[in-house]
Amino acid sequence: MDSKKTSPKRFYLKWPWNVLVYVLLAVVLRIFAIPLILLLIWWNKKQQPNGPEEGYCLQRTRGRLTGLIPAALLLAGGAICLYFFYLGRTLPGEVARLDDQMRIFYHLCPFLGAGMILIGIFLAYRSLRDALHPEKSALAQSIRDQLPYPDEAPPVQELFAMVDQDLRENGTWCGRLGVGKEWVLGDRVSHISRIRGVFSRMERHTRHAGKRTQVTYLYEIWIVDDRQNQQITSLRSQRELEEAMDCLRRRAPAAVFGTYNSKEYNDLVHAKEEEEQYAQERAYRQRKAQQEEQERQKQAERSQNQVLTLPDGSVTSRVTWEILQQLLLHPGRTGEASPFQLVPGVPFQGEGRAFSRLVCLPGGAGELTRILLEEYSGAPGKPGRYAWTRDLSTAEAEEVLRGWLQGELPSLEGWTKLERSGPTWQRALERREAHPLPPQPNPNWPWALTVGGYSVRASAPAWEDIQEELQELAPDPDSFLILEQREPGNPEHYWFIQCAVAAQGPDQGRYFVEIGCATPSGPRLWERMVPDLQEVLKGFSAAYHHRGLDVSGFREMVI
Amino acid sequence: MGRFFSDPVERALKCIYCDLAAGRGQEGFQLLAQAAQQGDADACCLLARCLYGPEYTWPGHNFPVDGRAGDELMRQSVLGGSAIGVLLSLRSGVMNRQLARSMPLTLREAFDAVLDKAEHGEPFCQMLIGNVYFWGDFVQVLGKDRGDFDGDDAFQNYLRENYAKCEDWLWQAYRNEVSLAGLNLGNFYRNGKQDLIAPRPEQAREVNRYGAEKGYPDAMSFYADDLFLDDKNEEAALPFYRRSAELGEPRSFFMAGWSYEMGKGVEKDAHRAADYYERALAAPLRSKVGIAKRLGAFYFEGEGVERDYAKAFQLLKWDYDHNTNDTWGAYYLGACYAHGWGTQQDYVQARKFLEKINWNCSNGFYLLGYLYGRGLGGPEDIPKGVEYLQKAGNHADAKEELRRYKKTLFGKWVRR
Repeated sequence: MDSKKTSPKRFYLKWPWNVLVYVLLAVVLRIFAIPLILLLIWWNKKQQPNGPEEGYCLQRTRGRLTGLIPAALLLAGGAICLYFFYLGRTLPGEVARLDDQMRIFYHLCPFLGAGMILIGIFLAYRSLRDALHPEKSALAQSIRDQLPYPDEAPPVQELFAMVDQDLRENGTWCGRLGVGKEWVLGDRVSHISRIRGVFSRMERHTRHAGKRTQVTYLYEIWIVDDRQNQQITSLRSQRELEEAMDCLRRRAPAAVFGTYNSKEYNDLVHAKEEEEQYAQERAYRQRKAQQEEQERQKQAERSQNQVLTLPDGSVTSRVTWEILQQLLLHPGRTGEASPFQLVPGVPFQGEGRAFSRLVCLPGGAGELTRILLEEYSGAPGKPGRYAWTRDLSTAEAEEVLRGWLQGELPSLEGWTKLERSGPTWQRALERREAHPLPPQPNPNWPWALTVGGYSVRASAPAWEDIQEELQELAPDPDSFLILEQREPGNPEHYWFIQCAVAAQGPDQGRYFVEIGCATPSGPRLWERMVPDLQEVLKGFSAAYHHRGLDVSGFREMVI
Repeated sequence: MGRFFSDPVERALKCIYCDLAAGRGQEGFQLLAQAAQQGDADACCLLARCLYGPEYTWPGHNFPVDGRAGDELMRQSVLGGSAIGVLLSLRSGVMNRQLARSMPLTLREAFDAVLDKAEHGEPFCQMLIGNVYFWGDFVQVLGKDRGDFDGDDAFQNYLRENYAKCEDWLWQAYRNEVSLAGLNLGNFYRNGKQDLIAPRPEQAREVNRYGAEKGYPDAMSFYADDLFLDDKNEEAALPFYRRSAELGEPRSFFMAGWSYEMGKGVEKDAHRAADYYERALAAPLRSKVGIAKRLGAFYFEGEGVERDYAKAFQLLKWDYDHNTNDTWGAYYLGACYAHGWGTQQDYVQARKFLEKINWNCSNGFYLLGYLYGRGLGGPEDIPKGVEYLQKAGNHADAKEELRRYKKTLFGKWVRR
């Protein structure tokens, strides 16, 4: 089933303006900036309904800037520690007054401060490196690690685009974890074909501080790949975790699923011996082969995408090439016609059109096979207006049918376009855009008049004669008038205007005015129904006197 | 020459009316056709009876139906001097004044000739005589009318006395293995004769029981109906249906198939169930509604038969079109339309059918949720779509589809 796609393009704060705005807000409003920043983040996300424009991966690496906050805290803590030690050095009396516990802390201060500063610097470096140099980020490295030859990995833009495209087209999001058809994006990236185990970790931590009891929950998904690398992504709730597990179960069904620290987890992660690893891999391959076989069978059953109506009227969607071949050969063997049709569940697209039906009338020995392709009307069950047909040799017909079975359409060059006419088809009128309306008479060619019924024919007729003859037209099949001109010396080039009165039918008594001429593509004819004689006279007069005949109401006819 | 008819006719009568389970109906038909071609007048009327439809012989024989050819044969039979032809033509509507004038036998002579054979133990003739009494043809045959009697009471007594004679003759035929005689015998007991003979439905049941015990396939089917429909005794009825179906009784195919499908009294066997459903569909039965939908579901699921969505759709749609109040196949039809399986994809029709689902059908709810949420086949309605997806419970695809939507702070469901 297809879905509707919408891709509105809206304004949003792009990188690095968004960060700049957040920093500015934080500087100006301090703590009060938090709700405003959260609101801005939400709005920015809303403005990009089809996912971040910069890409999921880049957004995630830039998001690592938030790591500057703990880095800043650590740096500040380290600086305070060092300052405290410095103060102690300058005021030894004060140090002497410290109690034992504080004195130990005082002596540890320089090491603690230095440690905190080093960690802070490391965290800040890592955050800035990931945000400003995505090619050096841990995320990019994790993608490289998943490739068969990490050293030959393409540039980071391509790496990210690869993951982003998959997530955009096939992604399912479970909190921060995005699961595509090929890639899983969490804090790192895993290639689905490499996933060997998925484990959920759900822990409840209780901390008692005085009379207060603080409970925290830990929700993590651990993805183990075939190189025993582990991708750990934190999630917000049990629901997200369960959804992520469900989703990965569908996308990587051959992997081992379980809980963190379970036997399965330990077997997989701690398989150090080559033999153990080989056994794990073999078990995985067996599960995968089994899954693929099941999937293949399922697909084979589901691929019944069209209905074959056999010559006896019975139907089947178990369409095989062998059946079609038998039907093609049937008339040659038995002399009996074996028409059949193929109707796809979803119309096939091709040649800028959609086709909903193929009808085949196999030819007998030495005869051609006729194939008709019906254009989709746009509404299921409603017959199409146009069709294309062609008589083909058996080999050509086989090629068309083989293609149709795969949902491919032949080139329609050389096929005849048909238009539906009640229950049958007729050759469609080809649009000749060059002359949608009849041309004007040639002012240099002479006029000739032919009047039916009385066998009057006159060269260079006077307008009065024409007028008189027009007035005498009667609703009789033999009563008509033709005002004609031919090119002197080249009578094949002509132009005429003719008139008759309808003798019967709903238009009885009305005037048919027709204009005909020779064009490079052959003779052409236009017609118009005129209610009264005055209008007819007006038209003929305009033509005769070359005053610009109004041809807007004329409709081209099939000759 | 046989004892009562020509050899081929006697053999054909055995094949067609007596030993039904042997499945030699076609052989009997061929014998009659050959004999009729050679001018055997008895064969002509018997062949005509075969051509009139399965109710005149047995649906399990699967004879072709051609009423016009039957009438022609019947006329030939009457003009050829067949006594059974004369009596049979009364029931077939072929007998008219012109034919009556042209035939070499009078009705009375024909009746006497058949009666003589019946009295000497010919079972088909016993049934024929029984039917003459059962249908009241005896009045015409014996040349009686109201004026021959002193009063209404005398005439009523005459009718009562003669109608009642059918019971004995039909029983004789029935005991002599013409199981078709049981049909009118059962009708006689079930309905009686208006103002003359009171109904005795318990006796009708006895007729079916007797036939079932004798191993008549049709009687087994009727007796199983008695047990299943009247007594609601599924356990006792189903073995009779299965046995009868095994002997080729088309009226039991559906129930036998159903018992195999549901595993009622036997081990579940989808192949066998599908086979019975196929045979029931091919048999000359009056109603095939119910059979078609079950077989359609088998084709849809690929149970017992190879999956074939085109066949599934054709059968399910046919069944639905013949009983639009029955929503049993609504999910299958909805799924076919939604996916374009076996028919052109049509979301509007898909919604129409899926909305008819009034039982817990997670697949159906998932599809409905999908269509509503994405605005396929009608206006988009995300809350309704989410409602259906949630109703689908643990359906894996529904759970994944649900992730497309989220609830806002104000409780409204929107696309993520």
